[in-house]
Amino acid sequence: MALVVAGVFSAGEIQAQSPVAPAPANTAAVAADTAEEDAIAAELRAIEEEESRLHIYGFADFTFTAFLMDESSRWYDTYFSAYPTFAVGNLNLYLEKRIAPRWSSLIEFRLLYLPNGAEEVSDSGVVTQIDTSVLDYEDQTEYLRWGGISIERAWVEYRIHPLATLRAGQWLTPYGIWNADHGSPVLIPIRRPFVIGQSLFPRSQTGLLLHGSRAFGDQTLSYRLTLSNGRGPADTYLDLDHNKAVGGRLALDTPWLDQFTAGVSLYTGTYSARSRSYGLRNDEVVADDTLIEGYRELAMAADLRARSGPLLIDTEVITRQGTYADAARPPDLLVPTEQQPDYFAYGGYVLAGVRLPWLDLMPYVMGEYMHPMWATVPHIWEGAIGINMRAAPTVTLKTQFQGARFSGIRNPVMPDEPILAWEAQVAWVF
Amino acid sequence: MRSILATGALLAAITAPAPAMGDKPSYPTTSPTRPILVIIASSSTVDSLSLDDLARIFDGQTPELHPLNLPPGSRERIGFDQLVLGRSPDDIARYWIDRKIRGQGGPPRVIPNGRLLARIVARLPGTIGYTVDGPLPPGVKVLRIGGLSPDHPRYPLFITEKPR
Amino acid sequence: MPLSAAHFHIQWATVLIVGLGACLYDPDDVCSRNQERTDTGLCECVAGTVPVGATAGCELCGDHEVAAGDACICADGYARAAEGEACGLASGGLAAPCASGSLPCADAAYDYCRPVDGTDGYCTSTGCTGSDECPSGYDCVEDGATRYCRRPPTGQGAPCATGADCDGYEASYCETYQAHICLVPDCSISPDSCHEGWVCCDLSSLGLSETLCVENGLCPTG
Repeated sequence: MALVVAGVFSAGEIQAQSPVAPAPANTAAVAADTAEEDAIAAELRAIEEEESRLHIYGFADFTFTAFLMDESSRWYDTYFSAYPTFAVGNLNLYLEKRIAPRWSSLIEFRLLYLPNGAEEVSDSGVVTQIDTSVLDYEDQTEYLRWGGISIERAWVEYRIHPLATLRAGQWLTPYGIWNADHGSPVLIPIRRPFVIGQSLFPRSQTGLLLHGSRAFGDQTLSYRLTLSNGRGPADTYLDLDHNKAVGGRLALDTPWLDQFTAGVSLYTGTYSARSRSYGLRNDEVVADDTLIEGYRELAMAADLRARSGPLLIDTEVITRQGTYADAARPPDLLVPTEQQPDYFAYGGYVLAGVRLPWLDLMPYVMGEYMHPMWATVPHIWEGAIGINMRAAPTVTLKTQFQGARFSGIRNPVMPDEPILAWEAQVAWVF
Repeated sequence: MRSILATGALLAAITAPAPAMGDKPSYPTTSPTRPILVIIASSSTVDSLSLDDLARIFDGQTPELHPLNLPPGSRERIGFDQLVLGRSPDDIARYWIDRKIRGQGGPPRVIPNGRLLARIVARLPGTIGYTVDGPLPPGVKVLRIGGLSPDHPRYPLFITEKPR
Repeated sequence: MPLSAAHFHIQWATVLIVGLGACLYDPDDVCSRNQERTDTGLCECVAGTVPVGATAGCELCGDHEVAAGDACICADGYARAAEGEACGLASGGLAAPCASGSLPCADAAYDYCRPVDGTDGYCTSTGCTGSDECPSGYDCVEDGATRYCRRPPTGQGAPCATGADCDGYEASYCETYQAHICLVPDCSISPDSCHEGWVCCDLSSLGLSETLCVENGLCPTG
């Protein structure tokens, strides 16, 4: 039976009404009732405050990474550090508030040590780390390294109808499992699969998102429809073409097994990067606007999460196709005299884990394959095995061994040699 | 003997999986049980809910209704979570932590006891809660679950009495 | 599962399959116009086209043009009369007749069309610093900002008996007194406009109101 409650609550929100309890009969009862009235009043106040309170919370993770390849591995020359490293990876803060009846807002930002330490390559090919050290104006004897902030999402939403809520702002693209789970304490493995990291779907978008769900008996169908700037060099606040990106997701949650959620997602849009040069004509400034990179893309994905007792299986298959504009096809990074072809990238992963009854341990294995979008980047095979332990609902411990191989295409900076790494992580919610 | 039976029944109740819609719930018949009353303001037009609907409400998936919960660790809460949501207290805690990190909102407000909860539900249209404590104050009504009222022998929500 | 639910899931699966089959990508057409795929899978310009900037695709070279690296150049036997103009049929090498704007010089070594009469002229080279850099018989002269190798005046030193024998030459004056050769008349004394090895001779002191280019050391007035 579908639950239909539309219109039952006048404003859709909580509003206290006057007490209707009968008057007490004697002094003791009066005292008891007074105490209870005080308690009720206190709870009502608390609920009201809760409704309007700004909730501040977040998550963080701390990871140890060691690559295990032989010292002669060429990967150390190109991508990876030969030195085992500790790192605070994510440090994300959430600001959440119900700002008015039917209105709510969520802002999430990630605090970064970057750009300090980011690598930059000089004209002569020497790679160095950016150093943001500056003298601390508060204490002129000490240097501090400043970092950055990445806005992960910032949206406000309005519940139009029980079946439709409209969200406006920057939001995570509704696709698959990984992008929705998002936070390291929630994710089971330590490293995201390449097929997720390569953003075949944009990680987040800026625009409008309409979402809702409807129950059909014991099944729930949920939908997401999106309209956004799409991808672009500054897509969080600037669209450089007239084509808005559209997308959506349909997911069905059924009671088969203990959980069986299947979804399909779609995104299509146009990427445009432009340059502008200025000149004078009849003593007036004129701008020459040039499309320097432009493509249309279509991304599709299917995902499945199945849980039966202690067994969990997550899998996602994602595709992305892109066709470049004739006059705005980017050069290849390795062979700059030639240009990148249209592409059909695809990949997927399967993650299987078993939640053991002891210590909330979950051993897991994950395998993935990805055919990348760049013609000169080899195919990627990756496998991981690890243990996830929910030490407390707010604390997740993980350790993982993983191996990857790029093969199929010769690439001077991506040798056909195995990548082996061992990592351990603690992720926590605060 | 009665104590042993009651303890076993309680364990059975809190470890039993949530009955799926249409399934006959497996509850003890030899121990005294008390129904968990799902309550809502009298002014509400909702009179009956399925177990799935109830689960969606207390999973935070029905924004039109604001669920009110009892404290974690209370018998009513453990029984309700197990029977309606099919989850242990740790599972529930994880569930809400995970939802917050996904940006899907936080858990229901917790009210210290069922008696207080009933009085708050009476005054706050739009809220829904549960209790085993009677009598209920004016202004609330008890919902049928799966079409069954709490006095029906196949009513799916109950807890066993504390052993005495 | 009830039949309606089964139908629902079949529809769901159909939507999924049809959706995944939809295509934007055409594996047989992955490059831009005038491009082809290389062995490495990238896109490069097809023969006869050149890249336009780093990202703006490839453009077909024009008539009588061939691709050479990043630019279209004129095919053999053709040349541009001026920068940016189309390739036209070109003249030959050194000293070949040419016309600015209509008959360019094809030989890259002698691509300067030196006007002699209006737009008509001859092909030679530019950029010399001395006559020893010029072909034999040519001298290096400056005309405004251009230094070029100047050919000897036509007919200079050619034998003649009458003035008619020098008609049509730049050396149109027939010296009939002693040497009986064609000479260049109306030269400039300062600066001396005569070809190297020749000098502008002022004959006014001899009662002749003319200047002539004569071989060095043979000017009777000095």
